[in-house]
Amino acid sequence: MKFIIVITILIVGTYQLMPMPKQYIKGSKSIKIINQCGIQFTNAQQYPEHVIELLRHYHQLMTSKNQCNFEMSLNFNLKNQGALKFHISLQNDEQLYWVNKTQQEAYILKIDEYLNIQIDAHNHWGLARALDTVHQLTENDKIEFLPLIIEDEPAYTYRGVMVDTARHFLPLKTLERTIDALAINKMNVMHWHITDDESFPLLLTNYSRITHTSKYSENEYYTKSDVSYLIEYASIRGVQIIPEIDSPAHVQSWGRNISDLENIILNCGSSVKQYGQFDPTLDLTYEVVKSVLQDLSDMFSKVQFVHFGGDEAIKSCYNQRPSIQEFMNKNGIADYIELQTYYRQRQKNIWKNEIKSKKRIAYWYNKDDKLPAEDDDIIHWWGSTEELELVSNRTNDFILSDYHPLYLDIGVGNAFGNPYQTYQTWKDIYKWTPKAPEGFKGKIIGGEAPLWGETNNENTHFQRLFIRSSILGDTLWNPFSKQSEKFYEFADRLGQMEDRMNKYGFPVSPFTHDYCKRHTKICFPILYTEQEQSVEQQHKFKEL
Amino acid sequence: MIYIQFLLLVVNAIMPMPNQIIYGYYTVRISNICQIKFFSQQEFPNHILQLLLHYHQLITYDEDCDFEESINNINIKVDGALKFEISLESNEQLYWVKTTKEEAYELNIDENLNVRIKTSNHWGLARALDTVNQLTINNQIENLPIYINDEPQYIHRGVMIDTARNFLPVRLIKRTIDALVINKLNVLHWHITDDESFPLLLTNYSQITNNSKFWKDGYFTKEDIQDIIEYASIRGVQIIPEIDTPAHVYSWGRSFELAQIIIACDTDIQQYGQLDPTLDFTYEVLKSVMQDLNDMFAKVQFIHFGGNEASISCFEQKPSIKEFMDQNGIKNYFDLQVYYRKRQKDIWKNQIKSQKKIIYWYNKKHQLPADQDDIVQWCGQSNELQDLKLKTNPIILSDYDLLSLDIGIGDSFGDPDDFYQSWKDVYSWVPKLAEDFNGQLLGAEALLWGHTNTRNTHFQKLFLRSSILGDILWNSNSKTSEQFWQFTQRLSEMEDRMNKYKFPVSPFTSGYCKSQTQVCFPYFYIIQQNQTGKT
Repeated sequence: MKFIIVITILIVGTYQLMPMPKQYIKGSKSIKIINQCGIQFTNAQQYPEHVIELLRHYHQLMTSKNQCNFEMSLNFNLKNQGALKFHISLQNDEQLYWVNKTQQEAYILKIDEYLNIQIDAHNHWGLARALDTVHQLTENDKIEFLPLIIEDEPAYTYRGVMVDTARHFLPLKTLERTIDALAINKMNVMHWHITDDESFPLLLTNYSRITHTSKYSENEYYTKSDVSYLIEYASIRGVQIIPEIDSPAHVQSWGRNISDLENIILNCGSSVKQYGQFDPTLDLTYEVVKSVLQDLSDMFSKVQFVHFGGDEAIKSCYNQRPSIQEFMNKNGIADYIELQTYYRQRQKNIWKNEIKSKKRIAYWYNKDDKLPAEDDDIIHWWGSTEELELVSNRTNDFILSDYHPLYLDIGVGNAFGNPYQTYQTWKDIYKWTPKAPEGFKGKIIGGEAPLWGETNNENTHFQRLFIRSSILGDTLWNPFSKQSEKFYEFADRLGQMEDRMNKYGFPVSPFTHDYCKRHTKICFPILYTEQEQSVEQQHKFKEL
Repeated sequence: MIYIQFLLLVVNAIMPMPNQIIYGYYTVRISNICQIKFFSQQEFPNHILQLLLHYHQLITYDEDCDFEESINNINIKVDGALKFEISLESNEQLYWVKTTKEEAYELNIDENLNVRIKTSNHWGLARALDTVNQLTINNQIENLPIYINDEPQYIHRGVMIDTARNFLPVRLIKRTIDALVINKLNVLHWHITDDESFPLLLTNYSQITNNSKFWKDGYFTKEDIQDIIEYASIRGVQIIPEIDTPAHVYSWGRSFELAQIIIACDTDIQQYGQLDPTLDFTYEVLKSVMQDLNDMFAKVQFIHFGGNEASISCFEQKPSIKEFMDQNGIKNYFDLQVYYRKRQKDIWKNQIKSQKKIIYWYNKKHQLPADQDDIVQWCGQSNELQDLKLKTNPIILSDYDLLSLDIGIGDSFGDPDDFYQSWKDVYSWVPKLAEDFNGQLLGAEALLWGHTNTRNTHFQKLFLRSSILGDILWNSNSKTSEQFWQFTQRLSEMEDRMNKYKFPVSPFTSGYCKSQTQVCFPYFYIIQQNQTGKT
């Protein structure tokens, strides 16, 4: 009996979208898209430039096999048979660089048997998500189960990855492509860890020598116009950029071989002195910090919040310099925690009162971080989700980046070729779901998979990011879908996402071999014991 | 100060390191890179022209130079151009070499950029040209005049690729050969078929290919094979094809006619198959497949028959097998496998009449008797090599763990497997044999099983780790006579070289450490083991 049911599901079919929409109602007709180049957008004259650019992007994806003229698609022609006809209705035409409510990415998508596609969304971010769904539905030149209505909305507003351009430089093109890859996974954040001990590849104004002495080669740094271009590129696709300038640790690059800045950096590290920390007692430190933060504020004026890092300052490094202890005695600073608090307060004072930035600040936190956070600070949690109990009284917004399983770089050795943690497989990420402990007062706004760059460059970038991040995107958009489907159904969706990403030239890591990818029912009958029960849950979707 | 001097010596950055280098202090610019001339007392046969063309393209990479000019107008000598004078003992095209002397070469480069190469045949020439290519980075040669006398330590230096778990296109296999050559590696062991697919087009049993291939054109034809063997031979690389039996054959039985010869092993997931060694039909199919193998791979030296991991419980599933064993006095399943192997070998030697030697997988658990002239590929742990001590067969090492390039990132089901082997793990490997070892050590292979490998991850997984294996097998003494940072400096330059030629290799360290090897890699690896990483 079980066998028959499986077959029935296969024939009747469910949509195999990734991520799965919140809910849909479907019919039973399958319509072929005969005229692939005939895509039409009604009322296109009224769209602002950023919407036109978004349409252009998805037009390119949807017609990638043919060379179709986008401009033609903007002139509506009723006679166009067998072609997709988009009717788009947005509540808000404004260009947004971020959204902070899940409703802003919600959309209603209706497709009838004549291939009329009605999209209702709040703004261009919701439109981007709707277009992605249409794009997934049409990739075999037909649409199944028409007529259909999809009502969709993400479960979490923050769904991202982190890239690191300090350990290896990543060309602008790779960052652009990363944004493209995020968009087809309905992910919406690229947290950009720009600088670190190893290099500072962002061109500063007053302290450009920090950039030039630490860059890896002649042109391996980002200019203000690169940054503006990237923010614009991301905004059009409904992705926000979160820039990070990490301090007071991870800053050796700020003072390496620069005679007048060497003094603000304490060099630390056990056998290899490659780590640097600010001397938080010097006025020059704050002078430099102010100038760099001013550049950050100017260059990233359009982002929602900035990331100040703030992790992993080492006490033994402060011990090196006796003048620090003297300063602490004079100023009544009891210990190094207070010293870091002192740094953080002065840094924040510069940001809020001198630079007068209104942007909120995110900091890295795990269970060992005892530094105070203010109410509007965002806590970027890289401990485990279980350990959130330790901070259940904090009322801040939380971004989850559980060390296991969300760190994408671990398990393949560190920068010295030494063993470094256990690799987190795609199944490890699949098993992860954001869970707030009981009585948790903060708000989990979403999750992020960090890809640290010690052993990552453009050769390995997409292989490390995907297909694992696709699974995180699936979970954060709709954590319920994986509970209401069989494991092989998930594997099917994953296999199709792998094909899709390959089709667009993203060299992602395969999740299994080609036999299992094509025989998911044989290879992925069950996940693990818990799955057995959830398989029995009812599908909540009904037939039209 | 001494360190800085070393750093400036380009000759010390060659990977693998030549046996002997004598050098001077002149740096000469190659101002006319396009004016390379290739000269010889004899006429170049086609395979040598093809090899010269290949290295001409690598040396003149960024320029658009005309190869014809370089071999025709050889009397027009231009200053600031490389002038090769090549002298070979044999002009014959070889598909393999049997002694390390055949890859030995003598190289002289003087201040006028006269490059004299003396070697046995085109394999030695390929190695010499590679050295010249490494010396001419940035359109200049330093430390002239240079004399290099070089010879590999081991004859078998290779990698294994797997086209059964995920298909790899011909183009990618050729690029793999190109990548091997600039590492002076000389073997591509090709695990063609397995349970998952059989992407080699057979003549009598093409349904095996067609029913198991992953997509329409996802298989290799006889022409593809010839193309690849020729391509490899020109560059001094031998191909070793593997058709694994009697296990790993589920793909053979996915047709009505052939289903009977396969026992589908009753494991959690039914994806493994074994040949039924009691049926005459099995041997009929086997004979036809091996005939194809012998025809298609006529020009290779060895054939790999696999022969690993047959499961006893799988044989137990079919009662007729037990009956057959009772009737024929076969005591146990071990003897049953011996029986299979004997019949397989009889087909190969006496019916197909192939002279090619056979390679079998061996590890601690799988040790069927090997004939004198069989070659043993050891994929057990190094410390278990003791078990092989009495064997007199030639041996290829593929230590599990250190030389496994696929492990550590999860298996086909996304479940954890063994630990990832970092570049330093490979660096720490040396061919260690048991005392009183009786066999001859041919060399080693790094294995890249294909369960989670596609063209997207292929070069990233193979390199730079295989570059390090190549370094060890060519000259295992170099790493003991240099400082650790000097090794990482050579590795760093190999990374640049492979990136220059568009092989997307995995970086071995951060961009900072790569350019500051003396800062980051001061000690030998044992001392650094304790240092933990930081995010």
